[in-house]
Amino acid sequence: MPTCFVAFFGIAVWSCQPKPNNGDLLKNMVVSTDYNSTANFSNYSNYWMSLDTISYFLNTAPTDTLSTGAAVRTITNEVSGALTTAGYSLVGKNASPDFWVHIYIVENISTYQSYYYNPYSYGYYGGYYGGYSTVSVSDQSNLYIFLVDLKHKSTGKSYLWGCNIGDLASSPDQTTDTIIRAIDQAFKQSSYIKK
Amino acid sequence: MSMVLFGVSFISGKAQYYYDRSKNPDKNIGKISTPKTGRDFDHFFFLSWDNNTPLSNKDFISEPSSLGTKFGYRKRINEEDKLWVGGDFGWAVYKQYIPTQTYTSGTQSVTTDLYNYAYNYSLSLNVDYFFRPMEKVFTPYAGVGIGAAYDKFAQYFNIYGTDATSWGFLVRPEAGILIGFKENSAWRIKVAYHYDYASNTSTDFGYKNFTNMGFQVGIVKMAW
Repeated sequence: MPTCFVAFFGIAVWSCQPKPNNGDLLKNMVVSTDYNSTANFSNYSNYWMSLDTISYFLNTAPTDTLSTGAAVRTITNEVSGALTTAGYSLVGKNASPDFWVHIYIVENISTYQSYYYNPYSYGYYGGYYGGYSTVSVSDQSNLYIFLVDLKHKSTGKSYLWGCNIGDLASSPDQTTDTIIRAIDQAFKQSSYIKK
Repeated sequence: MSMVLFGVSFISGKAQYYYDRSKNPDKNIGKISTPKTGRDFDHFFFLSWDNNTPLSNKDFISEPSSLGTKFGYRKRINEEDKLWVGGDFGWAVYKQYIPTQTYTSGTQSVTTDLYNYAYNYSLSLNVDYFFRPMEKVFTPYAGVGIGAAYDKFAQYFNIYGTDATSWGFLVRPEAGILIGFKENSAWRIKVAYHYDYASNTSTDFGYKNFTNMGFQVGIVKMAW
């Protein structure tokens, strides 16, 4: 009896690994940025970006590649506003902009199906019906913002700056405050982006 | 000599008055100088609430943890109630919130808040020396445990996370006291301090070992 209790206690405690609750974890998005160390951001004056559309890549719907709507406007306005504050001017696509702002979202939905087999489960009349299946779905999506050099695109060295913000899919607030705060943080931690 | 024999027979007689020795014969008769006055407990179990303070790698976690427990067993190995051996199984979770900061390395910067966790499990063989006979209300002791420790270090941020696991050698000196509710009580309170050194390492999380101080309060069930 004591041996059973010890074994039960050990297994119960061993499997007990508490984690922070989602409400706390998802309060803030993770903001990662990187830049081309050879770029001189003061050499650029104007940029072009689409204000009403961003690219959208969903692994389960490969043909759906554009996103529009109020949420998109929120994102593009925030990015455009940050660049204007940094001293750059938004110009038309045909006005020979110095760099292009490419914004896109990548969403990955994964579905896992597992079957749990129970060798000790038999039907009342001897027929086997043990085991059960479970389906779990994970959804992860990230917002990417890239500054692409159009002045030196012929050299193949067009990468200026990149930003990765996540996770959008799990965020309790996918349209306003959390994303705006994350975009602001991306430019705040990239103070080298200025005219 | 006759006085001593008279005294011993009186004590034995009193014990039989309070407890039926025919059902639970005293195993110490003829082996120790003073026969016991109650049940002859020769093993016990305990379950403790364990509070720990980390002493190593405080950059990762420095906050004390009250999320811990210990389950243990001891068996007497001599007839004088002094030396007891057994084992402990311990579990503790340390955690610390690191508010939002920006971490920069080269051209890359990452801003996030972090939840650092350390999950500790230990299994040890223990030897305890009790300074007073177990039938007393207050029985202080000192002991040491030697065994294995398993640690899982984890860092959670948003939906992301990273972790590493490590096995190590554990040494745990301990001092404490068992407090009975009466003389030769079957149920007792255990209060103890312990220091743990575990050789667990993790280069990713900056651990060269895991050391901590702990304070435990628990319940003890004596048995025979």
